[in-house]
Amino acid sequence: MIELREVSKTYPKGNQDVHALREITLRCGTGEFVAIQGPSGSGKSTLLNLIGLLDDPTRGVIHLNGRDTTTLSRREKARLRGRKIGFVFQSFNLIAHLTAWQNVALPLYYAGIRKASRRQSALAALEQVILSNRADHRPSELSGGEEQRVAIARSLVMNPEIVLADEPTGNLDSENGGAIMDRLQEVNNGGVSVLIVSHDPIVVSFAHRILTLRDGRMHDDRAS
Amino acid sequence: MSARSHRPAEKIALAAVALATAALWIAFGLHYESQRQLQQLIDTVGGNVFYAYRESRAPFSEADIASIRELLPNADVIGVTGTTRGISPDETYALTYVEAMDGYFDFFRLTFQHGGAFSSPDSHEAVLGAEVAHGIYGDADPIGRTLEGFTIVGVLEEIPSDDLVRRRVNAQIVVPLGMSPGMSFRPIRDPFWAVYIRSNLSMEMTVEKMRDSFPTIESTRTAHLHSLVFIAERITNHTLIVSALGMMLLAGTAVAGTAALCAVSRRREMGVRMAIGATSSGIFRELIRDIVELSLKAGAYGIAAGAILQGIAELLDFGLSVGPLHLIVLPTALTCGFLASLYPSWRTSMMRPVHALRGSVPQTASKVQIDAGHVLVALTLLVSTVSVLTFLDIGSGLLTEIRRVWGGVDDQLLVVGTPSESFLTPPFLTPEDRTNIEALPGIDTAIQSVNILAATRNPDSPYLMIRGVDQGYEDLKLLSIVQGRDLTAEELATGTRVAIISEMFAENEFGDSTALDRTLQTEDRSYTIVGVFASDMSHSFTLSQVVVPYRSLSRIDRELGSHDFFVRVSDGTSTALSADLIIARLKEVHAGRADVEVINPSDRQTALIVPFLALMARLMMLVGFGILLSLANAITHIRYDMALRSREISIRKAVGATDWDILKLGLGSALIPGIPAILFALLLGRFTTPLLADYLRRPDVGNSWAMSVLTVLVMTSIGVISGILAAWQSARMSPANGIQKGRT
Repeated sequence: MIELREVSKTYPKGNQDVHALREITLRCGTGEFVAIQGPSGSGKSTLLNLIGLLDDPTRGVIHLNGRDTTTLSRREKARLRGRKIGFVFQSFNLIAHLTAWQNVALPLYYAGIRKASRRQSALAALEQVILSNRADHRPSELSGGEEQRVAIARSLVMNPEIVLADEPTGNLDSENGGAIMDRLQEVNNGGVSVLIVSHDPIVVSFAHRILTLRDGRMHDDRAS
Repeated sequence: MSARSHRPAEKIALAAVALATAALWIAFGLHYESQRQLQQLIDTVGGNVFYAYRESRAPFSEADIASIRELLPNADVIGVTGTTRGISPDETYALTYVEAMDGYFDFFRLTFQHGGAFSSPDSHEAVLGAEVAHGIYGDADPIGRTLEGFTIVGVLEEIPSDDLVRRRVNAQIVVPLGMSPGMSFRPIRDPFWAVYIRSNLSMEMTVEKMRDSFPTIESTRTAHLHSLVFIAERITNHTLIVSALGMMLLAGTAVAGTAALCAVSRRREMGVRMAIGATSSGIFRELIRDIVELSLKAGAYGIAAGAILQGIAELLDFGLSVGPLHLIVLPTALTCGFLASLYPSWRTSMMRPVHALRGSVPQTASKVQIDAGHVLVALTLLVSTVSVLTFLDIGSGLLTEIRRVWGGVDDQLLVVGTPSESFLTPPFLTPEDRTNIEALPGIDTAIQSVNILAATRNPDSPYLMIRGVDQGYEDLKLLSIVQGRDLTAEELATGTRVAIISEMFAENEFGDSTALDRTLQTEDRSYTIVGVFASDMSHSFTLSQVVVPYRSLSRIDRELGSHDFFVRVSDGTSTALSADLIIARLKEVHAGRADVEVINPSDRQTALIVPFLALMARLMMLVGFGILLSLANAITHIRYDMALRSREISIRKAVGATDWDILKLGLGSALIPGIPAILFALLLGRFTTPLLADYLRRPDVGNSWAMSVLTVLVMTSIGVISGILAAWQSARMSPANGIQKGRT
């Protein structure tokens, strides 16, 4: 369960403040598939970063599973992020000098899981995205679609309750994009909440609910 | 990190170059000041002045002087001077007085504080040294007064302590030749007759000519004396210059780190510039220009700091001189900056515009650039570790030497013995001389001692020098006992056959096994070894490998050897005067023999310690600078590494890494390249330390394991501190910022 109450985010830019988000109030239930859309600069990614605890709101509160995250320490946020939330980014954000399985195993490492178990779990996660044969390859040796599948495997390896995806198909062709969305659909069917930022109508069509942001405000919130 | 995140690194690099520049300026200043002082001293009396004396110490006749003048027609020859040490009629003070021919004062450029030279060569007139005049008459003008029958006509200016030549000839009282004040001052040493010559020929030719005419003559080049004084100073200054250049090398790595960090944080800007037509060479030139400007500014600050320190030093009466080498200080700083920035600037200029515009580092380049950061950390820690290890090793060695020299010697103690070098037959001192010494005023006690040569049963070393020491010796604590114990009062009183031996002797005789309770066998007796003393500086006052009770020696042994005495002077009594009294008294007893030699161990130790302390202070200062610079450098380089990895760090944080996990990354950046570099530096230090120790003429110091461990601890701490400090900003960075923008 995700709940945002009058959340605002302001960035200082020179002598002025840029209001990225203004008083957003939102509730997402467990197992929902939510698409967030809006023009560039409307605050979509900022909203996703705030929900994912990558950033702190300037005002307002964010609850995850009933817990106020604004009172959490940096360490507690890191732990929560690692165990409960999975991220998928447009530019994949794999670490270049780690192999595919090592990238997938990274959340397990920070969760303090032993190396043997880490490799086993990582390979299992790669198996689910049909990439176990590429486990020992580095990102530079993978195609874009493969890189994103590794990123999805990494986001799912800790069995998170929420998956946050920021333009996950933005750098992929339609075939690979479709495969990625099929996988996210499967994840959602397993009871995991999925929040996805996208401009792509095909991607948005997978969602049960569509949020539209404009100038940092919630413009529209409707069922798909 | 912001796009301006290289600014603190710039300040660190600027400070590092400025510090190194100032150090170089000061080191050159000290070097030139030392040269100037030496030249000034040589100029005062001439570099080719030397004095000649006869082996027999006999005076030169007027005919001899005429022969020398004929032999060296263009030389400036001051005839005979006779230097004598005497005790005042009331036996309260001792003075050195000189009988001198005309021209003595001019020859040595001796200037007068009051009055002038003698009115005639046969007058009963005297010229006093400044110190003596002040001691006797205080601030009053002594001209016209009478001192022991001599009318005072002049007072000389005080001569600086480092002007060895003139201090040597600067008598406390100068009288005309033949007007010896010996009738009132009781001479305690034979006069030292010498001819002083300032030759126009080369020293070698002059000496050769003199030897042809005077085969038994000895000569000493006085200017050479001055040079000797400055050798230690010169070595220290050269070490300082090399160290300052080492600091410049460290500063260079700081500049390289800054250039790299600057290039990373400006890569988007470079991308834009490339996109609008800037060429690689243009970007390269621009980056180089920035760093050269930084180096120029730092060099100027460094020179300003050096000049300010120079001014402060002058205010404190400690001048520094400027010479041609100062002209290379600024170019050195510029060259350092230029060379250090070449590689990072080239890497940046070769970046593909598309990567630069994204603000990211391409994967292939990423690996290389991270390695470059690691190389810089490794290089910094390598140079610093070698410097710190070398200086700690030498510093600790010097400290050990100081401790040994300092070693609790009583400053009222005198060692009286036969002279080590003498033209005359040395006196043969007997136990009766102990009575003669103890009868003198201000003497508490005299402990007799004798050195004998004993035959051993060891064919490899058939003879052994044994020192017998008498009662009271146990209270002197002259030797540092390292095993067992010292001789006891009872053993000395009863003549028990026990011995203490030196460490060196113990090692030669018994190897690694303990010498305690073993028997030392001479041809006619055996001693049980009860203690081992250190073969150190304190030992140099005993100069025997084996010390036994005096009373354990046979009567014949005691009668065959010339005695030495350990004399304790009463508190509050001048040891110098007591030494003079002892010399005079034993001169009376052993007429026609050479003076006895009186050593004050405490004075000798002080003379040894002063240059140690000066060297130590400079070495410690350099160690401090080295540690500071390496810390600043390591921080810069790790910040560079972390800047390159900002996106990776954000990803790690997004998947659950805590601040501490990121700090560990910083620690890894410091320690993964740092530890091998430190260990390699330890090996390198094994070669550099003996080299420097050898250059400093301290071959016995260096390569201490304790200092190696301390160096590793210090340098590892630097690695840990720099890793944590440098990674702190990355740990606190918002992951959203790093992921979305790839910014540093």
